[in-house]
Amino acid sequence: MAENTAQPRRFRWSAGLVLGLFLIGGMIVTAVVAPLFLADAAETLTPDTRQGPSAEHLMGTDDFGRDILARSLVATRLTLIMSVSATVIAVIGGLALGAGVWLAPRRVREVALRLIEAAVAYPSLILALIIAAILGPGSVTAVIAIGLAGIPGFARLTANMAASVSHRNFVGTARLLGVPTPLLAVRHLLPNMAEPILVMATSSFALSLLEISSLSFVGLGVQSPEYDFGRLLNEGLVSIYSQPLQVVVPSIMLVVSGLGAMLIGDGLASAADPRGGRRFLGKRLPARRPVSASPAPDALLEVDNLTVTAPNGKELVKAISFSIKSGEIVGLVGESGSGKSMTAMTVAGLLAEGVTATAHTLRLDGLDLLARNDPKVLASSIGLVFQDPGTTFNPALRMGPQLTEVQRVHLRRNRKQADQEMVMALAEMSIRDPELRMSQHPHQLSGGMLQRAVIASSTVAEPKLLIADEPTTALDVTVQAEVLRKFRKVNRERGTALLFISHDIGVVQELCDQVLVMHDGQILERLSGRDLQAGHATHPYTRSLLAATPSMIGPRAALAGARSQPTAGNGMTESDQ
Amino acid sequence: MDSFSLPVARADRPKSPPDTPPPSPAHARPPQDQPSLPGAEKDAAGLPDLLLEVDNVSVDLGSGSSRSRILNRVSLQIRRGQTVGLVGESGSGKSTLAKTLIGDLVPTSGAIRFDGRETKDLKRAGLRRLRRKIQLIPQDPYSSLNPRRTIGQTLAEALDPLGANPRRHAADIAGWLEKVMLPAEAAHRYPHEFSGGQRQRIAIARALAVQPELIIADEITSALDVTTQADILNLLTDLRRDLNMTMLFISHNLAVVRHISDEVAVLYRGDLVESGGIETVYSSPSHPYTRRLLDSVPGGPGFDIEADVNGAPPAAEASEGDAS
Repeated sequence: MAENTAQPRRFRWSAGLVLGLFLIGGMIVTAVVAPLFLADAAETLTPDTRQGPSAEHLMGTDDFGRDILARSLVATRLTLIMSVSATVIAVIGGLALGAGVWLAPRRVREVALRLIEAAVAYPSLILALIIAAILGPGSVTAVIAIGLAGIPGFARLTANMAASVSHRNFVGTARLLGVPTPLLAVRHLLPNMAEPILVMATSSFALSLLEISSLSFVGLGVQSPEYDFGRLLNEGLVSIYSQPLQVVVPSIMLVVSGLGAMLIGDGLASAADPRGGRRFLGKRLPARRPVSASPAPDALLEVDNLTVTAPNGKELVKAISFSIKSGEIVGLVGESGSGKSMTAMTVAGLLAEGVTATAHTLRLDGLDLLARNDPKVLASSIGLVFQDPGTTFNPALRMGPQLTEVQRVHLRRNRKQADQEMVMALAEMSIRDPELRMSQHPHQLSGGMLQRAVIASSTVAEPKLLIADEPTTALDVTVQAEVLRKFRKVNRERGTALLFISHDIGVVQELCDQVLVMHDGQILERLSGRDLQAGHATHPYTRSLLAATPSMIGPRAALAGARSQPTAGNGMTESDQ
Repeated sequence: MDSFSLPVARADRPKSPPDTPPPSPAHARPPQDQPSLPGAEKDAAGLPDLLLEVDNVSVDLGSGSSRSRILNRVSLQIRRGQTVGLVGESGSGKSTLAKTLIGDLVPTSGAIRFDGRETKDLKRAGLRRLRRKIQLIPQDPYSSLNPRRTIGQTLAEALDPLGANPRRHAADIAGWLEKVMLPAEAAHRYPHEFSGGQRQRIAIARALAVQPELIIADEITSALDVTTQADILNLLTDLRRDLNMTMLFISHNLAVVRHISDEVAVLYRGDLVESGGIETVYSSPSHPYTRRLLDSVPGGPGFDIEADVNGAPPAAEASEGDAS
């Protein structure tokens, strides 16, 4: 933790961490202080045997007249020393073995990993029992046995974590910089494995505590006259009915130590992560229902004063109004965080949990989208196309049933009828051998083909509106061109209106009749796709977007980047002309 | 001093980031801030200008029946101070070529000559030195920086891989941060405190701090917003002018490649189908695939959205096969 405090970064104290430190701190103080003052009471034989609680002996005395409380407190020292030693052996041995396995040649690594997994699968207490039985009983034996038994778990964690961290780009880059492998492990691998290892170390401490106590309890650990919690339990067992406190007191000490260690582990793990602890605003704005701005009676989709608010009170979409006419293609263009996807998902009724949308009007052809709607009606009114065609489909199922789901479930078509319609729709999207494609799994189709299949399935129910959220962003450029043409074809031949979300100004200007430029939750400009193509944008923000986009023709002028831009787009100097 | 290092002037260069353009190597060159003309390509192979020569390189991956050819006899030349754009779609072999150049993959056949020397002749020490001369800027600005190390520590590692002491190199680090237009106090902060564009600038600073002779930029703007992308492209343009940077710029975005590159090479399914001066290739491509690629850019001059509506033959199936 020394490195953390050296950084200008505040350490975060959580309640659990404080409580854990308090508990373990108390145990450590007890371990240091108790043997100094209570050794006599704990170890001197007196005639006051088997007494109940009294002012002189708070928890009574044992068979030999020794104070039970004093013995339990004094036993803390040996117990803690043994548990910490065993944990240190397990962590250091495990890290070394795990790192060694990760650095080893591939074949050695594979064999070693299987061996380690077998060792992990074997119950560590039994392993410890065997080791203790071989070495003979005693406190040192118990520590070694429990420590060795803990190594495989850490080794497996280290090796697996190292394998996953080493795939991240910064490890490859460091290697390219010429950082030697041992330094690579120390700088890049271990720090990024710190959380799981810390948590595991503290839970391993708690486990060692229990296992060492168990060994002592069964007589393979600490031997008389030494005593730890386990030994005390062992001694107390014979008189558990007459002197229950003799077992209860060490048990409480065991629980407190274990709990304290676990709490510290969790607290350290969350404090060690520099990304954690960011606070959101946490303020909740009162929901409001703004007044209508301009009713548009001929519109297919009417959105009036739509505001979308995140759970933390931040307005993601700020009172926007727009409408889509029947058969029109409207593009929403903007950068990440502009609220374009949020707008589209609100229209589609797919709001994330905690997000609230308020609007004066949100209506699709007489269907009030603010009210609760029958999913059947929604499914046949709005079609959806998402960004990544690879994650739209369930990879375990064949294409056919997934493509015809809307028809079968919501439109009550029978299987054969739905299949026939889908085959025709796929053929229309220039997918060859549609019957074969229906019987294949998603991974057997290319990305462009999948996206065209999505378009086919979302248009076959003849929706009034098709919402496409960055549908070509994940596609190659030649494939993107094909998919864009399919959208145009569906629109022209079926008259389906389209709400098309994209960050690519080139795409929207080619495809869309109307373009809405969004920034920071607001619509800054609306213009026709043709005007955008001709560069007839009036709002400074739109112009800056155009100026930031590299061109395929003309001179290669300097681009206008975000650094030369105002945040909200108003009051901007037009220096990029 | 091994024969791999540059002419004397560069080998003795101070470690601090140069405020003025670095001293040119012994042979004088014309200023490189203008795009090269097609006629400039007549520099034949073997002239000192040539920094990297990829000669008939093939790369096979996998083993047994799953073995397949990812790159097929690819030849490519990059001269000092030039930026070569490498375009192609997914599966074309762009990343494989990058991995081969930085030594993560070994060519099945063919040769890679860096600064006139074959890389496969190099021993271990020579390879390690070569690695520092070719730096890769990865695509994803989120996984390219270690979240547990400050920006200062990250840059210090680039300056000195063994010591990596941010305090000793504080001045250099501040200088490189300034080069990528970040304040010096950024050195004390962690990656998560920066936006994607800022992270990408940090990754560029790290690559530059090594003072490499060749920078491979692998799709470095594809995860960024368009205005952030414009910042990065402007930055690269400035750096090319100030540091006489040589760069292989890999991208699927043809407009971006056109903006930044002097020359372009087009990869298609492992074959390098066309290469040449950027304006020559973009205005009159010789290979049909290049033509199709250029005509697919929305907003570009050859794009026709109505092709399907007007009943043009579907082109998709011709080139787009099964993904399996």
